[in-house]
Amino acid sequence: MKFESQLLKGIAPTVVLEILSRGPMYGYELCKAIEQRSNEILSLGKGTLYPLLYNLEAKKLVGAQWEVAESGRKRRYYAITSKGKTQLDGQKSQLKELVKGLDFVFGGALSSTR
Amino acid sequence: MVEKPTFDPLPVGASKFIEGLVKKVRYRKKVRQDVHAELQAHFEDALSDCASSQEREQLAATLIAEFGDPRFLARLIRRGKKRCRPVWVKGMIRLAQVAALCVLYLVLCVSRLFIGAPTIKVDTIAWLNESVRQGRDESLNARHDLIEACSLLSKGPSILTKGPRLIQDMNDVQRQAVEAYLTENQPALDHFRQAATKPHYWPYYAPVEPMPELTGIGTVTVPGMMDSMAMIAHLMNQCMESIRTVRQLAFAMEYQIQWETEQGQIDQALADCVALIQCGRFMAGTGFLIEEMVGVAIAALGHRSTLRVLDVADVNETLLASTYRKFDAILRSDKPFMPADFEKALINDLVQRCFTDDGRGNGRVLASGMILAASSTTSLLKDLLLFDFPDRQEITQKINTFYERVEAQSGLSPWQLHERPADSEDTHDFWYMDTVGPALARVAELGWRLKTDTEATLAIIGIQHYHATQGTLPSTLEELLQAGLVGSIPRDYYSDGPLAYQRTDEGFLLYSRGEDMKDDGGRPAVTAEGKKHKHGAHGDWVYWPVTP
Repeated sequence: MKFESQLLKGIAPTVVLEILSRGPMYGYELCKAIEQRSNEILSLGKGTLYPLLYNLEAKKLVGAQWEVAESGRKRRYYAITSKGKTQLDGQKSQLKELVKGLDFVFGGALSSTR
Repeated sequence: MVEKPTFDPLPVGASKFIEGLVKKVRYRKKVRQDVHAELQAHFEDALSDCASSQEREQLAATLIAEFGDPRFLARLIRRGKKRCRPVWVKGMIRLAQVAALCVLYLVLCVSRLFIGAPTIKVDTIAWLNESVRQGRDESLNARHDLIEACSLLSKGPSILTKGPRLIQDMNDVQRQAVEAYLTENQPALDHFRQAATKPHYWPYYAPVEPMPELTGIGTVTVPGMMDSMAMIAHLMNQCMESIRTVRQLAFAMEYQIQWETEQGQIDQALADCVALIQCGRFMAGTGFLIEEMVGVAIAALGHRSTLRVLDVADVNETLLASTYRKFDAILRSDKPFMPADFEKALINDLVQRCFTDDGRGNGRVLASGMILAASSTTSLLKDLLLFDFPDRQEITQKINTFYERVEAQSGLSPWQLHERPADSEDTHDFWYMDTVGPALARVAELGWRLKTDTEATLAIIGIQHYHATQGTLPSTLEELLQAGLVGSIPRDYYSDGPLAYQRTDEGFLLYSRGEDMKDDGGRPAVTAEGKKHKHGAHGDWVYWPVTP
């Protein structure tokens, strides 16, 4: 499903942090993980992914380091930092409240579709 | 040894896309290499499962499309990477940016000082020469005889510099040396006397050689403050050279007067005193401040010599009368002191070399004129930063105002200056006044001192004349006027009245109140350090009785 870019823009950092909270990943792997974990519903544009990762790195929410995988490929692995975890917790709480609020607005239509 | 893994090369389109994108990132090489490696890994991972090269190319094209506009993406990556910089790097960059802005601003401020060139319209040396000559014939100029006298003068024996100043204090050997020196230099002294008979004196300054800046008068040249300074140095060198020899000549004449007095040749001694004073007066009225100061010193030497002659010799009334007339003629022909035209010409020369000329009398200051235009060193920086240097008209106006004030003050005696109400215009904001002002004030001070010396000499001649004719001393100086022995009552320029005179048991006392302008009853003056000095700052300037 194609989402409005503005709609996705706000939650993209949270999604990335959530995925990284389960373990370090490199760019392509992260991309695939988002698609898999969201049941192919969410797909982060490649043009958005890397600038987003660099911004998260600048804010020290994620850290990055080069590693050589077993296949011999050199990859840049991103891992969530403690600051990133704190931020993620806060955003998750906010998202829950947001969904709850939206559910009320839509008369329970959101929860009934789950 | 671990073997380096090999991977299928990326399709050409993907490689080109990555390279193009990374190039557009336009950031540090290290960062670009990182981004390149990361994107390459992304493409390799994505294409690793493709079975055929055709499939690889199709998937690569899809990925490229998903990445979107490379220019936009490059901008986002650059922005993200820039945000990754450590705080200290960001701080340094900001600092560098601020510094660069400051430098740019300074360059803007300073650049205008280097744009444009001055226009040399006035050949200052030629102007100086013409202003003193005033079209007169060179045969009327005493300068030529003085030059001749200087060229004929031989170096005096060391006794003259190391021995006593007065012949009466010398031993026989010293006296013989002085006699031989004077005999040898009679031709030089004759030319000195000849110079004193000339009606005028004006100096001549040789032009600076070579002077390319003057060959194109009216055209744009590139001189500056240094050229003006070089010209001033050139002029001062000429002055100093002639001044040195003229001083030696004056000292030789002083010995000659003493010698003549000892030999009883009083009429010749007094005539030589007049010559000494006249030549001093010549120099004191024309030229640069340094020449004026030397002229004043020579004339003062003449007055001291005159008083010594009058002190030791019994001068008859005819000689006294003729000597008085000669002195009076010199006094009456006196030009005002401090003819600061030369100094004004020099500063105007500096202005013409340090400012541009818009043809309407105005112009902008150039780099070489910054110091000239700034009112002080602190204002120099302020002027520079605020783009606010005074223009040519403002500086010229300041110079004119300063010299108008100098001219107005030069006519006021020390007493009048002392008595006048405080002038609010005495405050100023032009460094030049701080530099030249004290020098002008010093010359004025010496000038008024010489005038007082002259009044005193005239008074003493009158008193001796009175004594020679009446057999007694006058009770007041007014009696000299009543007897027709003086043209006017001798003035004391350091008070609002005549010189102080009183009869004493030994003869008479004549003095000026001197620099402190207080009547100390004839207590001889001392310097600030307490040393005896005829023109000391404290006490009275006693002219009679004569003290060594």
